Amino acid sequence: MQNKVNIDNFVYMEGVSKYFGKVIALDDVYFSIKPREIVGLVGDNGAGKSTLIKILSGLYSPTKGVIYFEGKKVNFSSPRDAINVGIETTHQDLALVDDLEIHRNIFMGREPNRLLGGFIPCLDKQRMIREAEKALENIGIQGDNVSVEDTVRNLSGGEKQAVAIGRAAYFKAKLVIMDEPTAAMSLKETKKILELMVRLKETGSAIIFISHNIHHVFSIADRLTILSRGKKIADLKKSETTEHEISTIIMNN
Amino acid sequence: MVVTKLKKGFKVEGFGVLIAVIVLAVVFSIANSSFLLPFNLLIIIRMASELGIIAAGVTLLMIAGEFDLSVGSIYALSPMVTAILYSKLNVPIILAVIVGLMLALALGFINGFITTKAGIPSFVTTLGTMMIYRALVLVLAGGMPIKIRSHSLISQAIGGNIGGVFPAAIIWFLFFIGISYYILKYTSFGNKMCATGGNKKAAIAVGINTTMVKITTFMFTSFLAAFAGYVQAFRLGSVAPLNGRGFELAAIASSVIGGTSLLGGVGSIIGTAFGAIITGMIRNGIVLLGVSVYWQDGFLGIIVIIAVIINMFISKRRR
Repeated sequence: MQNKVNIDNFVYMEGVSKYFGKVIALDDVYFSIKPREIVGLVGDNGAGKSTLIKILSGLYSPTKGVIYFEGKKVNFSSPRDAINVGIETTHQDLALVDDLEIHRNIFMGREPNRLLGGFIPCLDKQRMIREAEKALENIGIQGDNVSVEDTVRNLSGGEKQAVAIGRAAYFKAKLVIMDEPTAAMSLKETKKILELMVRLKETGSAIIFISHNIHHVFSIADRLTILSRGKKIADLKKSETTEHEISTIIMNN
Repeated sequence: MVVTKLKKGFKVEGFGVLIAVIVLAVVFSIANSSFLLPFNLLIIIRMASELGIIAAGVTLLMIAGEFDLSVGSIYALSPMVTAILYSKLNVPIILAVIVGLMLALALGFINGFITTKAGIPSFVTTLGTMMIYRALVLVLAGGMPIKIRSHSLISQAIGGNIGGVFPAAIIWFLFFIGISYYILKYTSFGNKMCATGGNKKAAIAVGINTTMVKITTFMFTSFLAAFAGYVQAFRLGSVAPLNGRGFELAAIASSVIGGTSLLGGVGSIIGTAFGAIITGMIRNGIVLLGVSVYWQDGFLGIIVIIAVIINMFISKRRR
């Protein structure tokens, strides 16, 4: 029943399992995503969602199984490897450093350098600031009274999420993994984040959207993958299902 | 433009401590007019220099989210090894210094390696290595001071006086403050340090090797501690086995006075430089005031507490 590697699925996880000692966190899961597709990854606590995305973002290596990226077998031994092929992960609390300025956050780990006097490497701050402004502008979040030279601490949860999305878009991420981007957000901010995610998709990224809120996921996802106790129990196109059906599947497992 | 930028930097960085420096200077100079004599100021900054060099490293490490309590022991151990190699085994001084500095890097690596690989708090790791490294000093020296008299260029350059009056220590202090400031503010490594100490999980998520960042910073901190040790050793011409005891906490105090957070991610090298100068001013001022030297640490303690309260107030206001 599983589709083999093809050009459509630029990420394809084949029979991936993850054991922690005797605990089976993930059991023979097949997961795929197409370019510019938003896949909702849903399921109850302990379903294996976060294990799955940690494998895909290079934090864990799978006990069993193979990951294909753009048709090629990949082996991520660190988040750096995943980032290098174009996989960005953002987590509500984990994406940004509060005490660093926005531009330093956007370029965190990828800081541009220039050579001072021809040989002393020096952060290219002007470029960081300019490009950070551009990054926020491109995704349509400039002019919110936010300067890229402010620290992230002063931002609202929604603004932080927007900066993280802006960063992913700026680096032209092929796949953005978003873990609970709408958790603990006001209605207004949630709406804006969902809009930004759609815009991120339009600029060329595929998105894995992990959330407990089926309603949020359903509103923008193209497809939904449901996990339960480490196993994939359903993989449905949005056009072929309803929010109610998804909830029912999760509840009954 | 550079000037406005500098102004802006000072406004945020170390501005509060600078005020404290001025206030202390005014108080001490009212009490004793010789406090502000150039000769005396030179003494204060010279006294602040050795601690300031150590504190620069300690600040960077605190920003990266770790502590180093072993700096005081390394401050004694590296010069002690050099003194033994030079005075007892006739190793050329330059070689003996290089061996001592390499040793410091290794000791820092041990601190960082244990902390990151065993996943224990660096407070504990370096509490342990503080005792171990100190024990090594005592064993090597047999509990006695060892001479390190040398008229070589290197001993003059590190611990001598320029033109017979200006202590080289001050140049090194400014040099290492400058280097640390540059690393923190103008290198990608500095940004990675802030990220590592500010939000380690976020740093890992963007692909920063936080283990490497921490170990490297531990090594730099040890290097500076050893270097400060040489400044003193070459100035005095000998190394005593109990040198640098209490410096680990004085260095943390200097950092904290300067606005460095104990929680990581936030700190100021310029603030630390002023923090070290404040400790020098207090040590000197207490003597000039004719107050018992036993009050030194007590006075410093008061400053630490006030500084943290003020810093907290400032950072809340900034939000």
